[in-house]
Amino acid sequence: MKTFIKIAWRNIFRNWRRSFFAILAIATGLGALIFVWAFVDGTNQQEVSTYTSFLSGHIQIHKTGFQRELSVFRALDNPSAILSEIAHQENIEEFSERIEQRVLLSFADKTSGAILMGVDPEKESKITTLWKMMEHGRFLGPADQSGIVVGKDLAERFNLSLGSEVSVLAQAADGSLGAAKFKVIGIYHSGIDTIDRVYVFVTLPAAQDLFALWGRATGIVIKAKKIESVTNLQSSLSKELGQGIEVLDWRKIIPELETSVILHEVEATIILAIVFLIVAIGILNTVLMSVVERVREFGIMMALGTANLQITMLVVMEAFLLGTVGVILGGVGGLIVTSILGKRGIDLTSYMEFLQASPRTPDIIYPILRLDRIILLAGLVLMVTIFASIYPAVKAARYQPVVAIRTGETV
Amino acid sequence: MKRIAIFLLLLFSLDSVFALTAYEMVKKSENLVRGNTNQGILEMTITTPYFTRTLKMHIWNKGLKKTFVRIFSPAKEAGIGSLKMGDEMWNYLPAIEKIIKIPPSMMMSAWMGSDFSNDDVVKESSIVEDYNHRILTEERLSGYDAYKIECIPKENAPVVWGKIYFWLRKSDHLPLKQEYYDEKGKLIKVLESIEVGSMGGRVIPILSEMRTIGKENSKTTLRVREMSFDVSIADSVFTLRHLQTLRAKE
Repeated sequence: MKTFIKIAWRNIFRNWRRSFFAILAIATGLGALIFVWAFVDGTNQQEVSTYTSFLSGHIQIHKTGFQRELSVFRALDNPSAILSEIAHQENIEEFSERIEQRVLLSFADKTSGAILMGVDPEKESKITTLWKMMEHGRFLGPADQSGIVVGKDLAERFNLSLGSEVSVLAQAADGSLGAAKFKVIGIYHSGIDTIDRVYVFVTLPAAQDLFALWGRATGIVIKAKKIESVTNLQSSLSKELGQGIEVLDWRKIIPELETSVILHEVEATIILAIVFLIVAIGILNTVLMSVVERVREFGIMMALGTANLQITMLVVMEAFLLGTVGVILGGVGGLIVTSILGKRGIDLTSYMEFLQASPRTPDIIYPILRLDRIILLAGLVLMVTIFASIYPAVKAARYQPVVAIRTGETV
Repeated sequence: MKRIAIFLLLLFSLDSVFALTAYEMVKKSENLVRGNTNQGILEMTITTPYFTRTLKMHIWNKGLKKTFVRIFSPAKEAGIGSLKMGDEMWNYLPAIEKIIKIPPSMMMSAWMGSDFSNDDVVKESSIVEDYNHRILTEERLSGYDAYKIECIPKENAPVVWGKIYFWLRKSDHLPLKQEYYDEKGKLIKVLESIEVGSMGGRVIPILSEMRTIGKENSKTTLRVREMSFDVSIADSVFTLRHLQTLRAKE
């Protein structure tokens, strides 16, 4: 075996120019893939961070079945007990109680549905960012028991301005009709119309009064310390809180966001497949050429007693070595380039004006390196290289020694 | 002598000719519990798997077209009122100081979250005038001899039910039970008189229970605490103005 490796290694350097370009192709392929995936991962992570910071938070805790219908009869019975139970979790940066319910909003002669959020203004401001997006007035403060904050689209639809008095009707938890009046103290604009058109905010105590949910809440919203730890945190909390409580991460709360993330990954996978194809063709060409050139040499080796299988292995070994060097170079190179860009960020502002797919899409992308991805990619590229060399390797083993030696050709 | 005997015999047998028709029986039944006017205090207890709630209210009825209800307990809902005048119905919510008109499409929705619909409370449709009646059988129900009467809506009647079975007591036509069926013949609601007693000089059901089929853990009971009949009630009670103005009530 050792001899083969030695022979294979030396064979590579016999035509160092060809080997060089083969290694370059592999390295560039891997490097490019590392960068593309880091770009996609970076985009995804920023998108998730941004979108979950508007309203959904990273994780929400409700009574099982609440997310589906938002029924007031499925409110949490003892949210403070849950809060003390989970307070020890290290990955939680901040948590807050909320009441979320469908209501009927009425102003002048217009009546329409909305979703009311009863929040703790101080805690909420550490978890979500809507309070920073006020266009008129201000967000709620703890003293604003009869204040309401509405979205820009909803304000336009009802013709609301600061100081407008709106009526809120809702189903209360004791079966009665919840009814109360609120004064608009702020109008926010997030740019996401599914939020601006629908969500209105009052303080948690005001909501507890309206829905007869004193001492209770419909959910707990959580911000994790790191986005990557959300999945672990979710399963940990789920185990701890048991049946009867649903612990949902942002994927279940905003499925559209997960779809967007998956879409980006699918796009990257398509690029991956294309790069593999090109590298495979390149390696195939290189190895095939080197095999065809050495017909006579293989013929002599076989005449001297080298087995067919050994010839095949020799060729594959050559490709393996090329691949390994290429992968190492590509891996290191890709890592270096991507980390530099990861620190500096890729500024797309000039392109973003045309590509404004959604508001507040980050204009500067920071690629993110993931070790598991890099190892996987390196492994795959190496496998592609080896795979591409199989055809020429098998072909080499099929030469007839006598014909090969005499004519330098295959049959 | 023979002539007198035959005459007397015929006289007694004429009694069956003058027996009441189904329509008349239902009309008598309604008159029994409504009178020309009635006013009193009702207690409605709503029971569901999620909550149990008791509403106490004053009610005034004048004829078939005027109804006024004012809730005075519990405190959270005190002041809420319902008014029916003619064919129109309104609710008043003091918490937001608004009068809400109930469109015909909402007449079958629950009144205050109970098993009674808006239509049930204000009697928008008349079981007497909007239906054709026919005696089906005579049965024994809750220990009384009763007639079972089938009520089918007249053409063009503003009624959602496909049919109603009405059990009333033979002796005084007191309503014992009503079963409400939809147009496909499926039983939807059942109203039963649980307790019968004397109130305002009449014997009426003083405790009734309304159940919705399919919601087996829920029911609404209605207890009559006070009721007086045929006392004159001013028309000014049945106005939007009164609906909006909370007078000092018991």
